Amino acid sequence: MSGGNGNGSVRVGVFICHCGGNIADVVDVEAAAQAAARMPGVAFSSTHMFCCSDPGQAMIVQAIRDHGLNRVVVAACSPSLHEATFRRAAAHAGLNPFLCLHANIREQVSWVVRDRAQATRKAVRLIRAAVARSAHLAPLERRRLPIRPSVLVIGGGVAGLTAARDLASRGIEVTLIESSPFLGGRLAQLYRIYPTGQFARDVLNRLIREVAGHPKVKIYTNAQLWSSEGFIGDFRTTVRLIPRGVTEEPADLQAVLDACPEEAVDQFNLGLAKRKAIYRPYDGCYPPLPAIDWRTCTRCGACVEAAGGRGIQLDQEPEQIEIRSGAIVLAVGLDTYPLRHGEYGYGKFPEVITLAQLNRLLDPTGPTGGRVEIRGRPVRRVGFLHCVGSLQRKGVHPPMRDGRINEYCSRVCCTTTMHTAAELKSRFPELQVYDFHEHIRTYGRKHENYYDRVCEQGVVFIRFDPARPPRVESDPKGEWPLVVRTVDRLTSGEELEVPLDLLVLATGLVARDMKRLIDLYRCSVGPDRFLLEVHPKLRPVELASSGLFLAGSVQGPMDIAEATAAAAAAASKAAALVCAGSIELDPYVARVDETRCSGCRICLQACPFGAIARREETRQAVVNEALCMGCGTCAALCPCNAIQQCGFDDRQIGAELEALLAPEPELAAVSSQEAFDGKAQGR
Amino acid sequence: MSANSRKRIAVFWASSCGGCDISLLEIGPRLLDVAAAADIVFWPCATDFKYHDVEKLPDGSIDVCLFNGGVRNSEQHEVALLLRRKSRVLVAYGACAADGGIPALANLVSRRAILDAVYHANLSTDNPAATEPRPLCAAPAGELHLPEFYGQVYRLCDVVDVDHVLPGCPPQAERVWETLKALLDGQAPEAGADGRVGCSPRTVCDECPREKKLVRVEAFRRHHEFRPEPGWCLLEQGLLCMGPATRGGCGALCIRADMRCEGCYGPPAGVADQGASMIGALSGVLDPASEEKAYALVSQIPDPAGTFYRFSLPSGLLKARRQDGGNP
Repeated sequence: MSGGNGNGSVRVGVFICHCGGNIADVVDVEAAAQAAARMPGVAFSSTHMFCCSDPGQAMIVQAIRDHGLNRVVVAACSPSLHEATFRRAAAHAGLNPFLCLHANIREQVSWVVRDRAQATRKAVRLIRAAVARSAHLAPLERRRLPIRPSVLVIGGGVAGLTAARDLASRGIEVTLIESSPFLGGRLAQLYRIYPTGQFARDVLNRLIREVAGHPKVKIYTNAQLWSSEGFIGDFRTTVRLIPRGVTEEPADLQAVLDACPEEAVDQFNLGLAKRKAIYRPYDGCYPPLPAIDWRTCTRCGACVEAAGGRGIQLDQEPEQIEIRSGAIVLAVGLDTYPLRHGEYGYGKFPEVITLAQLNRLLDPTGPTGGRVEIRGRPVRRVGFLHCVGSLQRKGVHPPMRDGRINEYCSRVCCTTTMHTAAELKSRFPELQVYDFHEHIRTYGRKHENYYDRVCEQGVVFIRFDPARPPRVESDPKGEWPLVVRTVDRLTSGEELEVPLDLLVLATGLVARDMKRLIDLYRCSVGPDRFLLEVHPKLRPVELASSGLFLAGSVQGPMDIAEATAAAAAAASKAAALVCAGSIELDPYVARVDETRCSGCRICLQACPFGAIARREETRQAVVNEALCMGCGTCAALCPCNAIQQCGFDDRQIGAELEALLAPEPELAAVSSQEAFDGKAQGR
Repeated sequence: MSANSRKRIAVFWASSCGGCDISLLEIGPRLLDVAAAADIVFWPCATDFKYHDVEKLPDGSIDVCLFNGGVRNSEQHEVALLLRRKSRVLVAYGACAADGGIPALANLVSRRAILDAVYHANLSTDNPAATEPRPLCAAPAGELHLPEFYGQVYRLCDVVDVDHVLPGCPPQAERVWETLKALLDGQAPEAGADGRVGCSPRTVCDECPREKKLVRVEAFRRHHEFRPEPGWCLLEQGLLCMGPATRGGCGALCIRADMRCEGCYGPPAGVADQGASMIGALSGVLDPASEEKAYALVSQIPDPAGTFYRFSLPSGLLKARRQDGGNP
């Protein structure tokens, strides 16, 4: 980085931009330039039609050289737009780019203040503040970090697999870790998926083939995040590998399964079936080897015996491995809303199930072989209830265990419901289907078709009042297992009583318990508990902690198409990062003054990026500059002012504030007018 | 300590409790060294000199004046001006002279409210004639003068120039002795970046023997509710220990006795506002799961002003409620 420094007397150049008429139509830029010329330390001031244009930049470069300027203040648009432009210009003239400051007189002045005199006064004030601050600036150097050309993908669902495939196809080394023994995540549990109607399993298998067969991809299942060190460019993640128990496909798997005496609830089939302690969730799963569920297994050895003593080991120890990567893609997915016992009759009536469970029932390879029946009884009247655990309202819905309610729309349940209802009606045309909804949000491309189709198929729509959600009760006459009582707003609030023999709850989607992940990587979390991107439009798949990317529904409810797109975006962002070889970071790091630091460690706990540690010999704080993102939290919180942030230290901000708040000598005529107005209003 | 020329020492108490005077005695047998080197020319707490005795002294003839207490009324103000004139070195001694101290918490209410509470509204007050002290009143014997009660408590440095500030409620004996010895030897006592003497450049945390577990504070607790676990940071145990935002120098005396730091040594060097500094620090260690919980947690803090600004309200950004007159 080039480096004219800030030594010697301060010579500030002020450049005021017309921005066409964007600024100059409202702010008297010439008067502002004259006012700036009288400010302490200002050696040159000028205006330009477009400071950001090539001639505008050339003027700045020329003025720096001609007038020996060692500070530059550009009063123009938002710094997020052109700060970098003007810093480059300053550097081009041999000045350290961080001696260039930006005053925003467009978004903060000309676009929001109408009165010309007021706008000019405000612009001058902002310029004066920038000039005052610039006197205290010091040259700063950007940090450059090497980047390891590899990526760790956490999560083996559709998003993680997609990200891994896309990264590997760019020639990047990928390590994919999955906490369960099998890949596939939620996608494996689905039956047919919209909007193509394909079998979820087919889509998944194709994806797995592409990933698992790729020479650049290393996959670890049963892998738990253990600890993490390092930072962007060189993350060192320790993963604990839980033994699978099965090392070789048994010659007669059925005999081994039959031999196992321990049964557990089959989570893959969402509690609709049971499975053994040694199991495989479905035929064709990946990896194909069965796994042992250690929470259920008693290590009795029956399976080992049935396998002829080969291929099953019950005494393997967990193993820890370190994975080094330049970036990390988080694709841990989400959970379905945890229903309370008795919520809309769930758990109380076996005839109340979730939409996900219905998908398992519809699957010909599922627990009922594709028959929709409850306790062996075929179903004649089905109801779907929307927004269970979504769009919840204070006072109507009791909070979840963490005291919160889900106020957001889970987005995928409406289309899934329509899609599933259509599937039901086409497979079982004699079924009567009722749909209890507050809104129908089939928002995606081609999703509306499913709504149209079920309308044609004769599904009856009933719109409930969210303040009085439907009640699920047993049929007093005993003819049907259930009745749903609700008002129908489509028929002006008619009280309805709908008897059913199956009620399907379209449960919402919630963030998983990601405490470990959040602690390890200092992730930002939104009020909805999903991980929060830096900016929904400008940086939609990046976390504020550098080098971490969000893939799929870890960020919020998404359908498969959206999760895939998000994962592809994350992969492409991660690839761009690790392929660059090195990265430049802003120089705005926090620095600790060792004569003041008293070792209270407030900063250490508050740092969102884990960038502060304690030097044990002195018990004082020390900032890891590779991890510091320059957020300033520690500098603000440090109770003894021992931390200053480069580029934003107390002297700089103090000078800026003083200049902002000082009385205005430059535009005395306007001030006295204001004083007169003030008197007239009796102030 | 040089013995060739005897020094003159004065000690005065203004708006204070008397604890500072007693803290001088805490230096113990070293008082004999002081007596050997210096004459005490004025010490209302211990000797019977009058103001007019001080007035008779030549200007600048007192070598060291230790002034404790803030300035609440015109009498204290007059004596501060007098002692400033007569002293070569004027020390703002103790938390009240340095930062306003506990009496300055009265700056949160108006002078009128204080007079109302003391002379009228108090349940134990019997004042049928509604008499109030007035600076001037006519009596059969002639005009009577009383000191004027100011609208707020001022620090010593708000009314006169001060050479050294020695904080603490009261200043700790070792620090007092080091400072006094240097002054009697005619040397400048060791000072921090902000010129304060008899204290550390760091905070109480630097002197605290306890360790953090780096857990978040989930609830605030008070001393009568539990016995703190030895060796563990009191703040993390839910006690509102002001140590992080308090100037060191005391050696973490209270904390070593299982009591939270109340903040008597005032703001750390370079900190403009002790209370704001502590509130900032707290925001980094609380563990609120939600905004509501954050409010609930913060509302557990009893008497926030008296907790965060117990000793330093006039030294911070708030200083005092808007005045109803009576300023110097």
